Amino acid sequence: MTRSTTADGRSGRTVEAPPPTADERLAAAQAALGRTRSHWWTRSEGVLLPTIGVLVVLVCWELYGRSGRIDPIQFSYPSEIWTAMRGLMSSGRLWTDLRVSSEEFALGFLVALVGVPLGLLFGVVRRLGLAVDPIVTALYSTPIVALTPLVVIWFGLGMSSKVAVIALIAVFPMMINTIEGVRTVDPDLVRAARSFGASPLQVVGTVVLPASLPFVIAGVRLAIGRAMIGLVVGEFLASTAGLGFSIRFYAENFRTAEYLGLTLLLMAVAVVLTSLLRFIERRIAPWLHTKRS
Amino acid sequence: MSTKREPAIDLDHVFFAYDDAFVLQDVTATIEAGEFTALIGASGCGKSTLLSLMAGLRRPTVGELRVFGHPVEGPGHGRAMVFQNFALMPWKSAQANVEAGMRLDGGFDRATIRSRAVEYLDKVGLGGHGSLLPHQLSGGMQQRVGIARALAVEPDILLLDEPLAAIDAQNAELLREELRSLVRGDGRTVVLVTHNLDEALFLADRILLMGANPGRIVSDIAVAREETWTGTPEELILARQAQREELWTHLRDEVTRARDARQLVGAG
Repeated sequence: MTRSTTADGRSGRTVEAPPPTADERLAAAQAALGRTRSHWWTRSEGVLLPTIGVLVVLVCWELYGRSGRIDPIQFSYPSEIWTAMRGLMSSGRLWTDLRVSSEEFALGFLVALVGVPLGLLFGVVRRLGLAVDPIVTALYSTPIVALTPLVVIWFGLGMSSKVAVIALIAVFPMMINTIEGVRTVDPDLVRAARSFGASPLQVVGTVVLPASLPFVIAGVRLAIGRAMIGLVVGEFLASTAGLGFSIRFYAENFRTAEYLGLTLLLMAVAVVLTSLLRFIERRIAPWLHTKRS
Repeated sequence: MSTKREPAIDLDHVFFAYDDAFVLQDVTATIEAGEFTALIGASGCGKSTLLSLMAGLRRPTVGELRVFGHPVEGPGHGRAMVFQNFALMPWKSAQANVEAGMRLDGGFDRATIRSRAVEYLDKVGLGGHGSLLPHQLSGGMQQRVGIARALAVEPDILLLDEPLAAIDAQNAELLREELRSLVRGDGRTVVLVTHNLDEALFLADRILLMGANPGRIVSDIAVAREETWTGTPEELILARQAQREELWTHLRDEVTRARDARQLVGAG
């Protein structure tokens, strides 16, 4: 501790200042803590930095576009894309495409959800899982989009061919993730449930299913990206409406602004859906989120 | 020890094998009702396997295991287990974990499940923490939930599989004392698996020392306890010191033998 001295005005002598009290020391420490506490900027940088990053790219892109150095056939820029999209909105075409694609996507995804109970079955019944493992792995690794022409031959040009492609493409990530989820269930949890007299079905319902849920959600998240590819490829190859169909139409007619706008829209939908699932994942498995962080 | 009581657990020439190797060989012992027995031995001597057999999670390869005279066919009412790594469902709150034990055990109505969960969480010092998820609790608190979950089904036989091994030393000390006051003298039969000699001496009426390769009971010692001691307190202290030394001599031999056997396997 340093010794502080002050000048006594009347006598002119130097006297020693009294040592700070416990309350004063606490107040000083709190003031120091306030100085070292992270700034609002540091606390919000997780949101601010990505937002700034996107804004900077958009502004640079826009300025470059307005400078006239972009050939409208080869590329476009944000304000042009926005104008093109507004045109699609006012003509009603965008809404028709969105409706058709959403229906195909939703139906295909709904069918693909069968991967979850199947994955649960293959994970729980170990021998059955072993038997189907090579087939499931092979189909998961197959670029299913390559089978789209075949699916079109089977199901025709209507909605069912796109539903089938999406279902085929999305079912395997969900199934494989569910199997993995079941296989990684903490054996102590299963032992604990069994020690209280749980039946095999109760073990599945009480332990295996909830413990695998984070894996299932991760599988659904993975499937969304793949299903989006399935949707676009399916509509590229055989359709009369939908976002994929329009993307192809505008690309072939060199209407790059519309084409890029629709592609960006698909990207945005995929980002929103996967973020939503991340949010759900965090809500249903907060212990995993805590461990990761 | 005192007068003979009803046998709670009967191990009748029990053998147990994983694949082709015997983990337990010819284990015979009787644990009386109301007795607190500790199983102690070197790592890999089959203590936890023996506890799993008592819980009905595994079945003997040869021999018979009886609980209150009935052969053990699987897990059943009247037995509950506490696990080393707590084995709490991370998606359920502390209270829901305690309730889950009773729900799986069956035989409790909804109101009883709820009130008992609150009561037992309170008993283990977690009153008011029931809504927290396991990851929000410390290791010691998680094990308290595990203990409450087991006690809430009011088992005749409580099986403790190294319950304090995954907890920091100070909390383990605290919990050891609480465990003693919770389960000692309430008439319940308790079997504790532990590596800790002092823990066994502190908690148990009787210590079964197990040898490894293959697992078998090599020594059976009745612990000198103040409740039943007829001599002076000084004599009790001396008796306990002598017991500790005797146990440690046995245990050291077993640990050395197990270590040498592992080294031989490694060299082979």
